[in-house]
Amino acid sequence: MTTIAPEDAQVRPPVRIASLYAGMVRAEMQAASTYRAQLVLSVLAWVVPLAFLTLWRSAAADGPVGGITATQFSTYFCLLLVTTNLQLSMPVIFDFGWLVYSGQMSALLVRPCHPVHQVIARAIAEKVYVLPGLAIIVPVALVLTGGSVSGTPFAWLVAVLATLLGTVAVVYLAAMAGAVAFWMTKAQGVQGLLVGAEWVLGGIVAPVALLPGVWSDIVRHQPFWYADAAAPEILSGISAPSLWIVAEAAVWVVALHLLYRALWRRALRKYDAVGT
Amino acid sequence: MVDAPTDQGRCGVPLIDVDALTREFSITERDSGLGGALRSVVRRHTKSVTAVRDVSFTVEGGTVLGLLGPNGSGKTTTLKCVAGLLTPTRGSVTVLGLMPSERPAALLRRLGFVMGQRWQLHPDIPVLESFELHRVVYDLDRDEFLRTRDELMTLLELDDLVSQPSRKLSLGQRMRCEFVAALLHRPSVVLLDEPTLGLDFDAQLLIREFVRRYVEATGAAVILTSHYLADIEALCDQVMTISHGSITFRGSLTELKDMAGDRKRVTARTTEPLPRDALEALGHVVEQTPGTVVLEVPRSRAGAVVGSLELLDGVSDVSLGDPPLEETLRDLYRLSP
Repeated sequence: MTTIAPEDAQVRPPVRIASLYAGMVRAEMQAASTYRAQLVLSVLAWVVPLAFLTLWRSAAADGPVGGITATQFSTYFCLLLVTTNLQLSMPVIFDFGWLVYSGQMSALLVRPCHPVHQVIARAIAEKVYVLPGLAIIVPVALVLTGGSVSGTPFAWLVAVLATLLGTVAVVYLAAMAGAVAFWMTKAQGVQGLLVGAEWVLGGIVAPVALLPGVWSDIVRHQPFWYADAAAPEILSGISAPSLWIVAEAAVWVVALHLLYRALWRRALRKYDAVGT
Repeated sequence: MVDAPTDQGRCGVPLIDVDALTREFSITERDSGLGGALRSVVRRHTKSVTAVRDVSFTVEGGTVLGLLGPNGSGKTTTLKCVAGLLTPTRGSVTVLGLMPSERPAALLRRLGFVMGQRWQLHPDIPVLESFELHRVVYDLDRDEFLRTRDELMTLLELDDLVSQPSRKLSLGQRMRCEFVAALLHRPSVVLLDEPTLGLDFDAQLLIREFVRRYVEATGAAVILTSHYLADIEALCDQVMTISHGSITFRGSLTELKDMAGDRKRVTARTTEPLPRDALEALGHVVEQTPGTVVLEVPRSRAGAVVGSLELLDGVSDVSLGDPPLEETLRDLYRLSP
């Protein structure tokens, strides 16, 4: 029996992953450019934080709500517009589930690259097209609503790192929710639950500081908060920056990575490799 | 043709080893109609179905194994187990010394899988860009990739197609592009699942010639499933038939044809209708139309039957031949394990 030579099995993770994503994002950006109307819509589609901004500014017109002023609400929701628009969770959840349901997962599984990378690359490519829209909408919204972004370099560092790590952690959660399709075939229900959870746990409906009792403290220790709400809270002065935020987010990433690997192994054993 | 000096040394060496492979699926059953559907919401019945049972075989480098069987016989399940898409319920599959179900990247870099109904090319970008994406995913050296790509594109006459997105290509055009994509990384093991399904005659010939030359040049081990016997006859050194999940025949195409050797077909051209009774006395009447009679007879009696037919009035010509391969296969398909 012929076996593969040891040198064939060598891997170069950091370089490999970087070149892989560069190539895949490039291809997916080309693919996304095919559908121009879809591109325009995707730039304008996610403006939900602006709706909640209007709501909470009105509520804070006569004074702070839960200690948050109208200016802070403006800053918070304008920055939330940035972080939530850059989240990859929804495309990852639904694309991943669709790949299993449609049978297209088989074509990806015979490649020497985890299928989730393809899905993430597609989501990143879509976000690249959203950036120019955000670069216009967010400053305009800040000016019109009286928001004010401030913060020390340390606060900015914590905000950026927390968002990045939180985004990675939420991608793991999204991939796990998508992988439910290996068991349930049509897993949109479970996937929808995760999307709904992000609205509350990510502070999209309201800053988590407004949650009752100990809930506001608890919710500040989970991935959706790091991904969506940590940076807006820190840069609007609602929360104080701390390296603990970054450390906790990093622990979540490691834990979810290990959990995802275990789930993926089970998912592959469960896979029936059939289409719709 | 594609250079692959390291692979040529693999000719005659087993690259795929399948041992007592069994794959079961759990399927859900329910009564028909709305009532059955509603009951199934509350209580669901599942049962285990064995798609492949105790299948064992090896495939050496430089050979093409034809896997034949009716729809649902277990051909594609076997291929998917070899590719690592399915985990065996029992038994083992080893490809290039590794277990495909564990999806080791080192193995996937040496594996090419053309699935007749599943596309690996990105539908929305030009085919040439899909090839480039393939280079990135397989981490191929650029110069080597370009050389291989250009050779394969020339062989499959793709030059005019590669600037279009694959979703805009016809089935035959797209399949030719899929072949290039599946072989760009010069796999040592190639799995072809109905690769010529739905293709016109020219495209079938092109692909057969392409596969034959690829195997000659690279020493790859190939498993081919196809409903077109012409694919099998043109390419396969070994043939395996599978029925109800079990192997019913393994051998060369010649051996397969020899299985029909105990019977002969006698064809007579007639100028007037022959009495049915007289024909049935000579052998089994396979076909009787105005102008033609086909009889199936034991080999030992073939000469005598030819002689008897020649004596009959109204017979203008008599010829002797083997039954079609399809009928031998049909008999094999009907065999129960």
